[in-house]
Formats: sequence, C-alpha cells, structure tokens
Amino acid sequence: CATQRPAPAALSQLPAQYHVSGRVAVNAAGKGYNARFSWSHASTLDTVDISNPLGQVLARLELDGDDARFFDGSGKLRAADDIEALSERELGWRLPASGLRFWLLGLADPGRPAIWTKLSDANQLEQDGWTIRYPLETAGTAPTRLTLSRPDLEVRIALYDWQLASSTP
Amino acid sequence: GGLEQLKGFLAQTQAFTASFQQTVTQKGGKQQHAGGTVAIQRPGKFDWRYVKPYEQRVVGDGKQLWIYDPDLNQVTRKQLDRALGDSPAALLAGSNDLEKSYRLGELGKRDDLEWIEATPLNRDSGFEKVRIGFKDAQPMAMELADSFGQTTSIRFSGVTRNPKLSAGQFQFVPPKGADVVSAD
Repeated sequence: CATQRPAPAALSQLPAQYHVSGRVAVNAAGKGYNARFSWSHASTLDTVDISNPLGQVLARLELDGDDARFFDGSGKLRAADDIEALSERELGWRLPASGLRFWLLGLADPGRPAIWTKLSDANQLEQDGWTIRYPLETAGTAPTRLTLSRPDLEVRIALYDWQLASSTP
Repeated sequence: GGLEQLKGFLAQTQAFTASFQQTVTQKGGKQQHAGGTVAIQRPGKFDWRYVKPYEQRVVGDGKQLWIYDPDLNQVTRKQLDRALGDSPAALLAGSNDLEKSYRLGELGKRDDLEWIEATPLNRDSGFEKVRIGFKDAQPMAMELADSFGQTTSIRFSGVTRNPKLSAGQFQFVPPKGADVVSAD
C-alpha cells in the first residue's frame, strides 16, 4: 500500500502547480468535524475537494483568479461570493480558502499584510485574522502539520503526498 | 443472488474481522490507496482502523460513532445513525435494519462476487448508493460513487466469521490529552 513519500523541500514562492492530500480536524468551540481534503493548484485555478474518511467528496471549491465556485455534496453549484461565510454555512466551519493556497506551503499571501513570529516550538504567521502555526520540527520541508486558529475556531491539518512542480521563472 | 446472500449474512453472521484495502479513483483515473483492519459486531458495533498511509480509527460503540485521528490529536463524536457516510462498517454492522433503511436491488455477478445495490432512504446519509459484493453469504467488497465522478472501492481479505471478540473491542475511550468534539 502507499507508503508516505517524504515531504519535498520548502519553497519560497507559490509554484506553478502543486497537489497535496490532507486531513483536517476542526474544533469550533466544542463542535467538531473531521474530514479529508485534496488541494490542487494550477496557475490561477485552485481545486479543493473535501471528503469523508471514505474519500467521498462532500464539497468542492474552485478558486479561479478572484471568483470562486462552491459545489455541494450533490454536485450543485452554490453562489460563492464569500467562501469563508459559505463554507461555514455548508460545512459548519470557516475555510479561509484564498489564504490557505499559500499557507499550506508555509508561505504568507504576498498580497496582504502578514506578521511572522518565531516561537519556541513553532513558526507563527498572522494574516487575514487567522493565526497559523507550523511546528518547528516540520521546518525546512513543505509543511506536514499546521494549525489555523481564530478566537472561536481551531483547524488542525495534517498533509501528505506532496507533489510540487517548481514554478518556471 | 446477492439479496439471498445478504439475507444469509444477516442471519448467520453476528461478527467478522478482516483486513481491508480502500482505493479511491478520481474521474481522471488518479488513485489513492489506504488500508487497515476492521472488526464488526452486529448490531451497531464496529472498529474500522486505517493503518496506511495514515492512522485513523473509526469506532461504532452501538450508540455513537467516534473518529480518532492521532496526528491531529482529536476525537470527533457523532450519532451513529448519521454516520453511514463515515464508514461502510456502520452499514454492515446493521446499526439500523438494513432492509428497512435501504432500497435494495440485485446487480448480478461480477469479479466472482454476487452484487447488490443499497440506496439509503434517509437522504443525508453521506452517500447516494453503495454496492456490496458477496461470496458464501459474506460481504467481500463494497463500492461507493459520489457526485464528482469519484468511486471508492473496498476489498476485504483474511475474513474470520463469528470470531470471539472482547466487549472492550468496541468501547472507545478517548486517549488522555486528545480533544473531544461533537459533530452533532
């Protein structure tokens, strides 16, 4: 069966393409979710599939430049002016999709203010009202663990099966 | 046919243990493999453990479903009857009367198994249809399809029918330090 490939070296900027699989555990003030997801980035299109432990897709997000599409479990397109608000309604927790495109790689979104802080056990990024922490032991490679938190919400993410196509300058 | 073998399974099998291989095939053909072990005790009890490529445990204790993810140190708890989408074991464990909660249809023979199709009557069960393949009145394979062209196929191997299982097998006690959250 698939053994986990080691995570590739960390990148300094968004590559032309990447794909990663992950698991997410959400704790929204005691109410919780556990899901799997896959994130595929290809130039301006990001496709995010959120699925149950069996790999059945429960929701699909498409970020295309600055507009976004959200398909629910039955494949129906829902209006998605604000992904975070819609994911809270559909999935029960806020999914900061536009930031995550960078954060999964351990990068801040270069287009918006960001504060990096080195903690004793993690590198911390604050952006868009979220606090993102990368455990120090994962430093140097594409992240394999990160947590995102806001006052009312904690999202823990484990990442595996990183596939990076380096961006051609 | 499959329906007859399903009846046989429901009548003869109180419990079984097996290894499983799970393959998720995306529309483009890309596949993801996972595997582990399962123990099922009817009604309503199962212990579905993913071992590769990551560890995750899905336990039905007869009343509730527990999903424990060690890497993420979180236990998610939810009502068993809403949990079918989380594990086919919930369906095989017959936590609810299979014939009353599903529309069942005969699909005939394929891959040396007799297949049936079960369509959950309760809409938000987490999946639309599941196909189960039987051999000698024992479920040996399951297939699910979602609305995005993805199919999940599960194959059981090393099946032991009606093994002696300790009651503790299906009692899930959240490990010390793990966060427990409810999904209901």
